[in-house]
Amino acid sequence: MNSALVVARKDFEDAIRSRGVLLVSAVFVALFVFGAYFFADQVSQAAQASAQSGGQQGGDPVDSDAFLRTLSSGVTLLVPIVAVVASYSAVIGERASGTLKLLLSLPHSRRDVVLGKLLGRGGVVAVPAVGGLLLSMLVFPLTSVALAPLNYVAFTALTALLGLVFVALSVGISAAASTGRRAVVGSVGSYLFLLVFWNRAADPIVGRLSDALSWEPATTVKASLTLKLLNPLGAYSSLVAALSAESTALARASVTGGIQLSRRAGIVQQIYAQRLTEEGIPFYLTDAAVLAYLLVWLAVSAVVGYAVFRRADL
Amino acid sequence: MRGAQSGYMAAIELDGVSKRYGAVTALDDLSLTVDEGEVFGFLGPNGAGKSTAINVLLDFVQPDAGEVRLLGDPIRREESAPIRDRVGVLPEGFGVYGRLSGRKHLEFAVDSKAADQDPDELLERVGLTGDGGRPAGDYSRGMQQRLVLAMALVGEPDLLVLDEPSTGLDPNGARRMREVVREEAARGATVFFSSHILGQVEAVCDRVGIIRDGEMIAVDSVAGLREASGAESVLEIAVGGDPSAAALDAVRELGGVSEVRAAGDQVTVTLGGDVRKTAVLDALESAGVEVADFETRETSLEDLFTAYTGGGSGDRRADTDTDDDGGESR
Repeated sequence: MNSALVVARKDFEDAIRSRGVLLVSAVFVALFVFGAYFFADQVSQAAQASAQSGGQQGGDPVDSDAFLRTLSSGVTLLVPIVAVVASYSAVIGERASGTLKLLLSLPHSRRDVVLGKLLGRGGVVAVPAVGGLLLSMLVFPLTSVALAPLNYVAFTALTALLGLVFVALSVGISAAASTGRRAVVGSVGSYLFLLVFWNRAADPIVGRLSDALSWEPATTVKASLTLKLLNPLGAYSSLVAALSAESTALARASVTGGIQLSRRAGIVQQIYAQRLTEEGIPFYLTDAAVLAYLLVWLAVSAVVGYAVFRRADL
Repeated sequence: MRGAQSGYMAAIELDGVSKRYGAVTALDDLSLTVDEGEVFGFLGPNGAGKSTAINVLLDFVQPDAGEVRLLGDPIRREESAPIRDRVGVLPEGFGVYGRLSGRKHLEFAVDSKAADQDPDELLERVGLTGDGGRPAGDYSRGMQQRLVLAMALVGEPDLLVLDEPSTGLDPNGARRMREVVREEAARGATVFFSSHILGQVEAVCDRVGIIRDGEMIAVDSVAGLREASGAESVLEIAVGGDPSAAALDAVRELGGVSEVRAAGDQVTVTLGGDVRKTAVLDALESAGVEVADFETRETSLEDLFTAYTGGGSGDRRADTDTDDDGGESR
């Protein structure tokens, strides 16, 4: 078996024996399955109420896409936190406890260790998330809410990828850090930076560039959206939005206004979407490009972490 | 086999290796060759640089200068993993995966080396029969030491590197450790192990190297070292009744005897390097003293050190039972 896979399997077997991981799995399954159930329950109650009040069957028929839109904001918060908690000590923890000496005494290179940790911890995060989501699909046939299975599976895959990106970020930081404290501060700090500060910093930066370089309004819009989509949380939100949005332009424009918890299509988003539609979607704002941004985060985190770890003395 | 031109191959070669940690020199132009198939004891007080040297061998630590070869292949960062297929390691300052069982640890080592060995047989070899199913976090330090020794044996390595292998072992465990070393040597493996206690080394080693302040100060057989350093051993003899002054004088007249003391029915004789114990016993018996029992106390490493280095390390105590070799490797 490949060396990195041996390390990954050991890591996974070790992690699933910890209570924290069992807890996280329970939380994921509960959130997704009960979330789907309560959502469907609310929808059918609302439908009943509207039928009793004599009104016609108003609005669009609700399907599971509406649930995914509701869920995605919670997932954007929760999955990265779980990934960070599961991964920040992946390498530095073994370095501190001395088990890394066992690993590196065996015929594993440091690259195998980083890759193995990425796969092992990735599995620890992705398996319960994917399992919970697939399980929650079973709820819909029992309710009046229609299931859109392809979008559901795509959402599951994107959520797993979001988890892997933050696992890679934390494993990379864990490999590069010289103490456990630095790994915690680095991982949690990165997450908070991406969640809270990135988008706040984006508009002032784009505004200043726009003034300095006398950009067209359309260029400013594209620059602003691109910068926000380079944030993995923004990329994830926008890709999820693309699953059910009327247009790619609207899905891209949805990142404007931050990685927000509300789903209202703000006036700014409408304007941005309109401009994008008029201009045409440039290649760097297509779904493929946004997916690539996520993959770049994954790869760069792991490679930079490894590059530092490679030179370190134990 | 690869390696030197003549077909002769060194299992370990350190050539001019230096390593500094800030202002502290851990290794100072250290050179050492361990031949294939020999059992080599790497001796030195705590903080002398033993673990740093071993960490350099294993690519845990990168030297500032110098060249390292294991089994003929140069050790360079990230290129040494294939070499470790043929090396078994018991590192110093290791930890175990607390939640994984002993057997899981061994399965991991077997998978890692693509070996084909029964974990239970390995457990038996190190005296952990019946403990394989328990989480290694519940093991005592000595049991963890045995477990990692078993991991080192996976894949019948050509070279075993054992860093302070007796740490935390009871006398029974230390004896089993020596047996394992002998068995592995009989199989043809090279064994390189470090210790700060001479007693653990001399019983099994073909040769011994002494490191002090990051430099090799001697490489020889134990007997050769003792002879060269003029270090002494002490013979404790239980005799029937008070020995006569004449008998004690007869012993004193033997060449190589430096001191004779008597207290009740106990005679203590301090011997130099080249006197035979039987000569002392013969001298006593021919003077009419009945020898009931006798015991030899070998000089400790620290005594040997003091003798060898002219007393320069008198402030170091080797009998503190820590396995911490300067702390830099943690």
